[in-house]
Amino acid sequence: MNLWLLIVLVAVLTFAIKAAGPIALGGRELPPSFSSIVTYMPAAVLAALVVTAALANGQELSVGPAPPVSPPPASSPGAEDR
Amino acid sequence: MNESFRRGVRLGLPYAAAGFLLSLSFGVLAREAGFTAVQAIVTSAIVFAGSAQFAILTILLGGGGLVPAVAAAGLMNARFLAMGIALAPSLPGRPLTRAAQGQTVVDASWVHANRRDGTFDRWLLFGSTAPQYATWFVGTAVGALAGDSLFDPETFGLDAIFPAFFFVLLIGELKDPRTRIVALIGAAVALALVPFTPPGIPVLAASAAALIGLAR
Repeated sequence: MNLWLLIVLVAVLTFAIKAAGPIALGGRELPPSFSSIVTYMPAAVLAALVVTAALANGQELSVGPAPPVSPPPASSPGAEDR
Repeated sequence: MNESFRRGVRLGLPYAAAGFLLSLSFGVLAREAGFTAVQAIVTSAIVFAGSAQFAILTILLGGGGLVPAVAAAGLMNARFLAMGIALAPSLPGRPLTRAAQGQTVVDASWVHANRRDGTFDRWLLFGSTAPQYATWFVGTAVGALAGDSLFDPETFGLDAIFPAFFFVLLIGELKDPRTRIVALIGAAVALALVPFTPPGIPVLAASAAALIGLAR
């Protein structure tokens, strides 16, 4: 795989995700209800980050450290296709 | 340099220290995943999103290809969509200027900059992110160049560092009963979705718990 292509694609995607809100909604007054929602967003996001960082490993829930990321087995036929 | 920026730098320093250790292990793991040192360093310089970068390595080390790796990174970053929308009205300037300012969002600095009245102090955001960006870059360079001769990332207990820091930030938020309810719902939504959605989506979905702010 071309790792440079991967790096550039992820960088562009990350830029776009972070830019979307500021481009679409920036520089204008939004209704008070918007502020009411934003006020509570840190608590919601942080609580979710805490529990997923502590308890989720991929799509599995487990307590304790995540198993180490290990290199793939020497031969994994078909792995390139996924 | 104004007062907000300096205050942001001070608030960001502990996260910069933790980020140094985490990026060190990213540098080492990236080499194991087949990155050159330059590729690892460039990744941290232009992506600058820890969870997405580790998601890429997890996919590559598991034998996955380009599309799953990019998708995993995008999903891990999905929460920045919600965070960027929240931040948007606090950023002045033309669209491209606002987009550039929006790039400085990382979890800790976004929380630091939140004034808790629906607006953000953008200089505090920039200040908090600055040292975190610097150590993320330097740590990756050290890890990628020194490799695992330096240390074994798995023995460091790094898994516990960021949950602990996020927890400290969370405690600072829990000032009134409604915030506690939002946090509980956010945590419950995230945990409930973990088995059924790709990593990253649970945190994005949990941000919807903030809609409780609309209730009277």
